[in-house]
Amino acid sequence: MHKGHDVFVIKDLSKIEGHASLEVKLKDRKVEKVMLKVEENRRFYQKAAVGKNIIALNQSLSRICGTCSAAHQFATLKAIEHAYGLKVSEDEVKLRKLLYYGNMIRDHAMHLYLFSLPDVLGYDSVFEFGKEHKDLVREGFYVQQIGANLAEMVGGRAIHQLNISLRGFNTSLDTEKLATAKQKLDSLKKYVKKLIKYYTKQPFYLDAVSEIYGCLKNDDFGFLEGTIRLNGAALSPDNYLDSIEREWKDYSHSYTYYYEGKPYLLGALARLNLNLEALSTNAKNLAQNYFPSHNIYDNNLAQAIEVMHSIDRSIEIINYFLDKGGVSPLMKDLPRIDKEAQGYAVIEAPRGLLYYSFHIDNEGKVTKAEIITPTAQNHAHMEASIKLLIENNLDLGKEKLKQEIEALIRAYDPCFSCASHFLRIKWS
Amino acid sequence: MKKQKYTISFYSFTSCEGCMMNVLLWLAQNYKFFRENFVINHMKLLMADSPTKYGEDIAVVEGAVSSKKQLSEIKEIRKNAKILVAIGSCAITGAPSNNRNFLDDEEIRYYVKKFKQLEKVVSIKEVVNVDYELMGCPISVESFNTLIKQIIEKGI
Repeated sequence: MHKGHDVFVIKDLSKIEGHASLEVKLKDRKVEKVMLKVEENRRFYQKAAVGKNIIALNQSLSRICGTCSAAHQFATLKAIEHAYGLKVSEDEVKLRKLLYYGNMIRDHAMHLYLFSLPDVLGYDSVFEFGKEHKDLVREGFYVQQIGANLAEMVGGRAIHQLNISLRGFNTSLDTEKLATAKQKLDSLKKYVKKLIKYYTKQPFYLDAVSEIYGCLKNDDFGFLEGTIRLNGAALSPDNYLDSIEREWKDYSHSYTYYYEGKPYLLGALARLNLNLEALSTNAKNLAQNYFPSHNIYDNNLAQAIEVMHSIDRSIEIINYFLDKGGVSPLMKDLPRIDKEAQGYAVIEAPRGLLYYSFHIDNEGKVTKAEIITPTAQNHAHMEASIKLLIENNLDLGKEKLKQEIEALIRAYDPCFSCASHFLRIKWS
Repeated sequence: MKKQKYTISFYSFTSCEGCMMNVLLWLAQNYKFFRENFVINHMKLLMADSPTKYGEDIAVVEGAVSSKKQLSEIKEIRKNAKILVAIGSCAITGAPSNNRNFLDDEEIRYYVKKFKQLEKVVSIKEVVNVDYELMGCPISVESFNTLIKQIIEKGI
């Protein structure tokens, strides 16, 4: 980069979920402004939720995001269940987790093998993998597929699952199906071990711009339950929103978030840093030497560990249902709605904490909805990291720097499909 | 003689990209067939650069059209592609990505103006001629596979 004013633009970032671009302004070799612009066209799901009955709301809000549809469905159900104090049986919780692990395996595998691995191995895309890496393409597709199959087996479909609702879990599984799924999951372990190895040897390093991490703390690393930890503080879903600050950036289609004025980080790296003890024994053993880590690129390694963990925990749950002789539909009556209520839920989406809240009237219609996605919350952290990366590498050629920036953004695994569409502009 | 390969592109418009998630699964299940028959021209989900801008044998499009920029893009895609395949409910009906067509308030009007949006969200089908359409929310992997094979059999 030379002296004087300089502008640096990356249009339409690739190998991520959704649309975004980047504009960087420099002056005299100093980064003046980093603008990560979410360019998704908003679909206003949050606004459209108002007036809808809660009964089928999870199906509507599932469409916020193709890849994390299960996260949006479970967050919807949990917020409504919280509002009316509805109980979910132990078996239903287990089925939810089993479906969710399947989704997590598919989603993480897509990101790790198809989006990020080309950066680690020095290719532009998976289609260009050389002879020595060709197996990884096949393995990546296989891991992704088995994850999708698990979500489909339990949820009815891999994307926008059909078997889950306020009425319970409408799934029947015989022991043969369960045993086959278990065997397939087991066959993934050797590939995932290999994947983890690639990510322990990845070449990139960048110190986290802030060491404020947030995640759910629990004892099984099950993604759907636990107490919220943000910078050490224990929070609950109903006071989470009060603990974070938000800022509207007029160049982007979404909000950005701060904790005590600083960017914070959600997602796999945060989860591994704060909740490693809760991993499956196998995954914990693989992770122990590498976490806690403040290298932002280790978010990829953390995801790879989570794939292994999800396989282990899925097999545990399948064993439980094998012992019971299979799975029968777990249906219950619709809740009685005759009073106004407010419900809150925070779960771990693949990319970090996902916040949902609903105000519901006495007929079961939503009067107010608030949805905050992990990618929107990671936005400020991403921008600060990009700034740091550029400042550290001003003498790198523009083309090379562009590649490095893209690899950095990809390490966050942003999902811009989710990140916009929700939040109100504050009118002053 | 070397088998002739078709060029194919995958474009995402306003959507949840769920149909593209299933296209990825289709790709995974039919990788050998895919590599034997196709070369990708554009697929932002997997590749940074497109060898050429537009002009592929088959353009597969998901999502609805909500901005002026998207409207001119889909017209360019249509003008240059031999075959245009619309996949998923958003591409065919606009829904469910067209929530704002049924809402009206100050925020939506501000958003439409500031981010150069179209007054109403429209489907791909409403603005360009579509050769094949495949319904679903999302599309099914099997149906997509059948359709692609039918297109090839019929000849391009």
